[in-house]
Amino acid sequence: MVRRKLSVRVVMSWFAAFWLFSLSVGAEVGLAVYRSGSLDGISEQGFQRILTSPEVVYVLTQERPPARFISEKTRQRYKLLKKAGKKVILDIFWGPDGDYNWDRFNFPDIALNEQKRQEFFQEVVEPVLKSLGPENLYGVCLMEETGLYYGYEKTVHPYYKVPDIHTPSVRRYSGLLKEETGLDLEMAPIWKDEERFAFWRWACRSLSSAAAHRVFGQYIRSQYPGLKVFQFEGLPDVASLHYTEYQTMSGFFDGSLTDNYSSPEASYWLVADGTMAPKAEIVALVAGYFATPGSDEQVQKIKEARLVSAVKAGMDGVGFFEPDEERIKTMDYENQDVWTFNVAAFNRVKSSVKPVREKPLLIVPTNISVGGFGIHEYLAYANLKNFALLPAAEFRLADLRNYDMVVIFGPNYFGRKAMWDADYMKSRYKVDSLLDARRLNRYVQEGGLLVISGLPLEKGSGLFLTEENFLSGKEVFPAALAIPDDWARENLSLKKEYGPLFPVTGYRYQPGEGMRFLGENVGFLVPYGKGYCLVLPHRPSGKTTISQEERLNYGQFLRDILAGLAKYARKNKLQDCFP
Amino acid sequence: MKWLWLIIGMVLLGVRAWSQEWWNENWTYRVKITLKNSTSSEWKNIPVVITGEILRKKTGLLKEALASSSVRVVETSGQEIPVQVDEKDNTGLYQAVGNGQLDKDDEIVFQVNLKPGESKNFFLYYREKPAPIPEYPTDLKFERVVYGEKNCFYNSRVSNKIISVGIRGAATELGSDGKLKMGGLGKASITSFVLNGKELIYQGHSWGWNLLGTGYTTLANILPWGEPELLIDGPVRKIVVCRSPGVDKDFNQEVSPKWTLSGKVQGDYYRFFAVYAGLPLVTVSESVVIKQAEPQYSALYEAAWCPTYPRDWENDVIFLPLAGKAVTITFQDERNYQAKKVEEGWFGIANTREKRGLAMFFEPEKAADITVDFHAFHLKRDQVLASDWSKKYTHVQARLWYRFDNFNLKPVQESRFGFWGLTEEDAAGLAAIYRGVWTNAPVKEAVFGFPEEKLRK
Repeated sequence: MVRRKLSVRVVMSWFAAFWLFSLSVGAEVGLAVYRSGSLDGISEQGFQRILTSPEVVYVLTQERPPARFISEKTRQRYKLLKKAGKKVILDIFWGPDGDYNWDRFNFPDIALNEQKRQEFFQEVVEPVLKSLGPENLYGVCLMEETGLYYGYEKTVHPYYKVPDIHTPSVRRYSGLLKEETGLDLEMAPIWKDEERFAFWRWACRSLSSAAAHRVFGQYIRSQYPGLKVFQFEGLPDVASLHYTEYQTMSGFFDGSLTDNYSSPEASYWLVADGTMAPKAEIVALVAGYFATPGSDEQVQKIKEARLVSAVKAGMDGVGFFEPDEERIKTMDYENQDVWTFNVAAFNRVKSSVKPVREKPLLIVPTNISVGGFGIHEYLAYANLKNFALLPAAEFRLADLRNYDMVVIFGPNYFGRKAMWDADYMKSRYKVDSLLDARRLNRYVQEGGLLVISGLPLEKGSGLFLTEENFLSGKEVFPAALAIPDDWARENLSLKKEYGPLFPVTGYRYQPGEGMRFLGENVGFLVPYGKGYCLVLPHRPSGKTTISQEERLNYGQFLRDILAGLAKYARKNKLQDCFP
Repeated sequence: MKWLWLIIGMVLLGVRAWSQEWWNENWTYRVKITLKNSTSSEWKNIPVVITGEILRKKTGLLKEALASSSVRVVETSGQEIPVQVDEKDNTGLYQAVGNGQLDKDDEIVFQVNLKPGESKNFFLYYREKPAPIPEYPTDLKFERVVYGEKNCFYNSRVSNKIISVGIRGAATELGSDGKLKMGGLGKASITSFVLNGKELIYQGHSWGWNLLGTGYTTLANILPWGEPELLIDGPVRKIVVCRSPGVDKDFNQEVSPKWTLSGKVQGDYYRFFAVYAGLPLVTVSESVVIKQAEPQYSALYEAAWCPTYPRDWENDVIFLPLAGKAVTITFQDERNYQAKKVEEGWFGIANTREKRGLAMFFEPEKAADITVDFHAFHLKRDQVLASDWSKKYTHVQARLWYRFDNFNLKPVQESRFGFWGLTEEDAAGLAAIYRGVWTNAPVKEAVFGFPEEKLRK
C-alpha cells in the first residue's frame, strides 16, 4: 500500500480532476462501506450504523477459511445485512501462511491445474460460502487488491519484473509457455523487448490473478447462479504497461471493487475502470483521511472532490477507505463524527453530481504513471471533459465505433511489432499486440479522428502512416516550444506559440507525401479515407522537476489542437469535450 | 620374469620422479603441485592463489611455523618462477607488514601458463627460517597522480604492460568554482581503465560513470573514503587500498534512493584493488570489518564503460553465461541481459572489430539481481541512436545487487569484483578465463603431492 503525501500541486490536480466531466445524466449511486477483515470484528455501534443507514447500499467484507473459525455472530450479521437489503460483497481471503498458504493455493495453479483448482474450491471457497450462506451474499470475489503480489507463491509475482527460470510459478508452466508461444524460459535473461512483451501477455492470460478469476467466475456461475462474481483489482499498476487483467476476465465477472488511494491519478483510473468494464457494477473506495493534511474544510473539499470523481466516472457504489495518519484502520463507521461527516459528504455529492454517460473522446495512454508522474500531471491542465480512458494494454476492449476521437499517448514503446502489429504477434507468439494498427487504420478510413502523441513511427508497424509513406521517424529531440504555422493557426484555431511545454522532448518524424505540416514542433495532419490522423511529437514522460508553467502550457496546447481538429473535421459531438 | 622387471622399472622411475633434484639445499621442505587446465582455452599468466589453509588441508604438513618469505615456486625443469606471499590479519584484511609466518588466510600467489587440457607439475619450497625476498622481474608499476593533471581524473595508477588502472580516492578536489570536481563522485573506484593504450572509461562524464563508483553505487559516494595507498608491492600483483574507517550508518534512513543501499552498519570499509603482472585484470575486494550490523544488507554496484570511442554499435557484443553455455548477443539482436539469479559470475561487452572491451567478474551467489545493457538504462535504444552525442559516447551499463541475509554473522564481509580487458576472446574464451582467474579452478582442481623433507647429509 503506497502512502503519498499531498502537496499543493497534487491538491490542485484534484480540483482539476473535479471538473473532468460536464454532461451528467443518470443513475443512483449507493454508499459503500469496507470491512478489511471478518464482520465479527466490527463493533456493535459500527454494525448498527451500517445496518440502519439508508445511504449504505454496498457492504464489502472479508472472510477466510477454515469455516469453523467463522463465528455465529458473523453469520448472524450476514443474515441481518441481507434482511436490511444491503448488497454484501464477500472477499474470500486465504494465506499467505498456514493450511491455506500461497505455495499450496496460488493463482497460477488455480488457473491452470485442474486438481489444485478443485481442491481450492472445495477447501477454501465452498466452506466459506456455505458457512455464511450464499443466499445472504450479493457477490463474491477472491482476495483483495489482486494483480499485485497477493496470491503468488513466496510472494513472487510471475510477471511483475523480468521473469526467469527461478520464478516458481513460471517454471512450473514453462512447458505450456513454450507450447503456446514458442518462448523458451531458459532464454528469459536475454529476451528482447518483443519476447518479454509476449511473455507478459501470456502470463496475464494464463497464470495471473485474472486467469484464476476467470475460472472462479465460471465456477460460481455454474454452482451459484444467483451470486454475482466480482473482482477486486487494487492499484493502478494492474492495468498499466502491458498487463491485461481486464480482458482476461472479460465476460466472466459482473462487477469490480477498487481502492485507488489518494493520488489524483485515481480519478483517471476510475474512468478507466468504467471504460474497461462498461457493463460491470463497480464499487470504488476512495481515500478518506488517508495522508490528507490540512484543516477540516480542506479535508472536506478533498473528500468531496474524490467522491465527485468516482460518481462522475459512473461508479455504482462509492465509499471511503479511512486509515488515519497512524495507519490504524479505523473505518468511518466506527467513529460517529467521521461517519456523520462522510455520510453528509456523500449525500451532498449524490444530490448534486451525476455520472457522465456520453463520452465521444477516448484517451489511450501507454502508461498512466510515467516515471513517477501520473497522467494527472499533464492531462488535467488540458481541461478535457466527457472522455473515456483505456490503458493501451487493454485496447482490445475498446469498441471504436463509440468514439469520434481516439488519442494515444506515449512514451512507452515495445517495438513496432509488439506495439502495433496484431497479426504478427498473433502468428508469432499467439498473443495480442499492445494496439492494433489495422483496427486503427479502419477507424480513420471510416471517419474517425486518430491522434498519436509521442511514439516512434517505424516501417513495418502496419499503421497506414508508415506503410503508405506518410510519416516515419524515431529520433528524439528537445521539443520545449511549439510554433504553429499560418495554416494551423487559421484552420485549427491555434495560438502563435506554446511553450515551454511539459513533455520536453519529442520525436522527429520524416514527412512523406500527402500530409500537412502544422508548424515547428506542432505536428502533422494526415487525411485518410473519411477521417484524419493527427501526429504530435510530444512525449509525455517523467522529468525530475516540472514547472506549473510547463504543465499549463502543454495543457493549453493539447486542448487547443484537439479542439481545433474536432472543429476542422466537423465532429460536433466532440465540442463539449473541449470547453 | 618379464612382469617382475616391469615392476622394478616402474618403481625405479617412480623413485626418480619422487626424488627429482632438490632445487636449493638451503630449503627444507617442498611439496609437488600438479595444476591442470581443464578448459579448451589457453591460460596465460593465470594467477594461482593458494592460501595457508588450503596448503594445510591438502598436504597435512605445515605443522611447523613456516616463514612466508621462504616460499618459492619452481618448475620441474628447476626454473624458479615469481611468487609472493600476501599476508592477512587472520580476519581477511591484507597487511602491509605481516607476522612473517604463513597463516591460514595468507595467500601464496604465482602465475602459470597452461595449454588446453595440459597438466604441469610445480614444486613449492619453504622452510622455517626467513629468506631474503628475491627481486623478480615484473611489469607492474604503481604511481601517485595529481588529480586533474594531464587529464588524469584519479589519484593513483597501477599498471602493467597491458593495462593501466586509475583509482580515485577521497574525491575532495575542488574546482575553480569552489565545487567538488566531478561532483565528488567516483570515490574509491576505478575511474580509468586503459587497455593497450586505449581508455575504456570515458573521461568526460561529470556524473561518475566508471567502475564501482557511479552515481547509484551509493557506498562509493556517501562514505568518507581516503586516498589510495599502495599496500602490497609484489612482483605478481600490487594491491592498493582505500579506507573508510569508523562508519556508523543506518543506510535505511540515510540513503536515497533506497534501492541502492540498505542495512545498518558500524565498522570499517576497505576497498582493495589488485592488479596482476602481465594480465589485463584488476580485482576489487570491498571488505567490511563489522563491529555491529543488521543481518539484512543490500548494496548496488554499477559499472560503465565504452568499448570504443566513438561507439561502434554495429560490432558490439555481450558475452554471457546462459543455459549452461557461453552465449554471444549482438546489438542488432535488440537483447540485453537481465537475471535475478545468474548461472556464473561473469559477462563481457566488447567490440569485435577493434577487439576491445571489458569483462566483469562477480560472486554469483551474492548477486541477487543483474542487468547488463549495451547502453545506459535510462535511455531507450531509439534514443541512443537518435542523438549524435549518444551515438558516440553513451556507455554500456551493468548493475548488480549484492544481497546478504546474514551480514552480521562474520567479522569481515567481503564483496568481490573483477574486471578483465577483453581483446581476442570470444564468449567461450571468456568463460575459460573466468574459471581460471576468478573461480581459482587451477587450485580447486590441483593435485597436491606428499610433502617432502630434504634428506640431511
